[in-house]
Amino acid sequence: MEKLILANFQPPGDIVMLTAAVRDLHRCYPGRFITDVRTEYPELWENNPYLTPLEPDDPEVRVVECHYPMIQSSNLRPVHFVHGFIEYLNEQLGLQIRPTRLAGGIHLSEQERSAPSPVAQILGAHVPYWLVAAGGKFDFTIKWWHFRRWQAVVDAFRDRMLFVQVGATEHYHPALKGVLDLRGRTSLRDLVRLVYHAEGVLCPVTLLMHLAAAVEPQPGGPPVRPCVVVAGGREPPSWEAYPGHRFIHTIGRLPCCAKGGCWRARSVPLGDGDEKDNPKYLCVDVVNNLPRCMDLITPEHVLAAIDSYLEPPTTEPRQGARTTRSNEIPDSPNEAVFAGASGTCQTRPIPIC
Amino acid sequence: MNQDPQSPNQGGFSDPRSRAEFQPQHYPRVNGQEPPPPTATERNDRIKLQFLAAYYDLNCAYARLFAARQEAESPARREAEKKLLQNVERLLIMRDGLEDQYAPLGVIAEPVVKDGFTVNVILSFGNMDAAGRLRSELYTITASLPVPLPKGFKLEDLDLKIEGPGVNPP
Repeated sequence: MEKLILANFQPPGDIVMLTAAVRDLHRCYPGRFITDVRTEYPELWENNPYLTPLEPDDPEVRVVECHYPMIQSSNLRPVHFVHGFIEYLNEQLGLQIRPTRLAGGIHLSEQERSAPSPVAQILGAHVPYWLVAAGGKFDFTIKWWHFRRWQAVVDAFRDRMLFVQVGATEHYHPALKGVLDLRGRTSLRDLVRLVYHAEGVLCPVTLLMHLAAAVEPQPGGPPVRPCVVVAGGREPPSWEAYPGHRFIHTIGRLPCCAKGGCWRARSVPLGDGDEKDNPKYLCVDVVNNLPRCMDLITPEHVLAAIDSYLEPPTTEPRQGARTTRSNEIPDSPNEAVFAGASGTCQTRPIPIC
Repeated sequence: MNQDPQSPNQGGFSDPRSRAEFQPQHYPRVNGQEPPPPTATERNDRIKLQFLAAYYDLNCAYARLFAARQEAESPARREAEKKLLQNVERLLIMRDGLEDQYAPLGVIAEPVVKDGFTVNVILSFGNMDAAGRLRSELYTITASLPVPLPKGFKLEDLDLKIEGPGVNPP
């Protein structure tokens, strides 16, 4: 048995992708490896059946610093983020690991599954809810959508759906009104439990999106957890979108993302001394205080995407449906929502490997 | 809204403390502290002053509305109340404009309200953390770990390889 310690100290969304690589390493090579990991987020590895404690000073242990250079060709190749670490391990270890699932692998204990949701513990009763992350980190502000647009979505579902707002204190998460505010009140493990019990997830391209796919669905619920992602034109859906998610993007809609994601970092310089204030990392088309790609995505697009999960699929126009809502969004998985012109939605398939 | 969020205080902002009718009881604190001086030039201070001015104006408008509502019911009172409410609405729109202008910079301004008046504005900025440090600055953390030597030994007697800044300099 070969002993491996896989190390990566990137943000938690990346680590969710590493969980996929560890799972698929074992599934493709059962019994050949003993693995452990070194990351900053042990809570993402709780209950993971593929880990065995290893020490790096064990002479039989090989420590592999894991990267995903494949991202450099994400606009050119039909590959998903889940392939990133896998391809790197294949190159480093001379293997042929294949993805076995298009999602990370986050594991819950039986106790976590059976316990009331964190929301139920707060409210004292089971209340269905969607999670919402209305912001993000300061390094990639280009991913932010305007907080008034998140608010418009929440307002549109008033009295119909509870939104639970989450987000780290040290990041940008403006308070939304009419939500259960858990900003800064959850550990990473709490977030995993919140995702497990959530009816759906609403967010930009962020950890929450990866968790929505990686955390197992609840028994008796939909096989894929609903998730609406306000993505814009930074990242190609072929790289980021998960089956069953509504990934609202603008790739191909604007010159700056005509052939793929722009992969830029910030809308405007923050003045924090970070190199991402350099013009080469800045959005080239800011309008209404948003990257144009994010400005093109309206609350109506997001409402339509959420509605597509809530209403049964139909090919007939729904009576009384708003013109830009659910009847324009197909219900089948593996589709990304294309934020088109004139406030309407079109769709196009994305390649899922 | 398509203003340049990089240039606060470029358009008509005036510090209410310079106004003749300034009412200090309606001027809120910021992050629980005294506001910056009107002459402050640092970008985040100027943004603070703009939000404080907005909430000051709202407080004054609310005070006038509150006073009007103490009057006896009459058509004149209703008309006055309507105009005062419209003024509050106008000021709220201006406040929203500020929020929109600075949202791309990661600025969040959350009012702390008491009895209908904003008494404090919690402001956070995209470029600085809560301690006022640039977010890109590295933190240096020093820990002292006293390790008692065996009896009768001196440090130079031991074959220790200690690495780190300031240890065993060449």
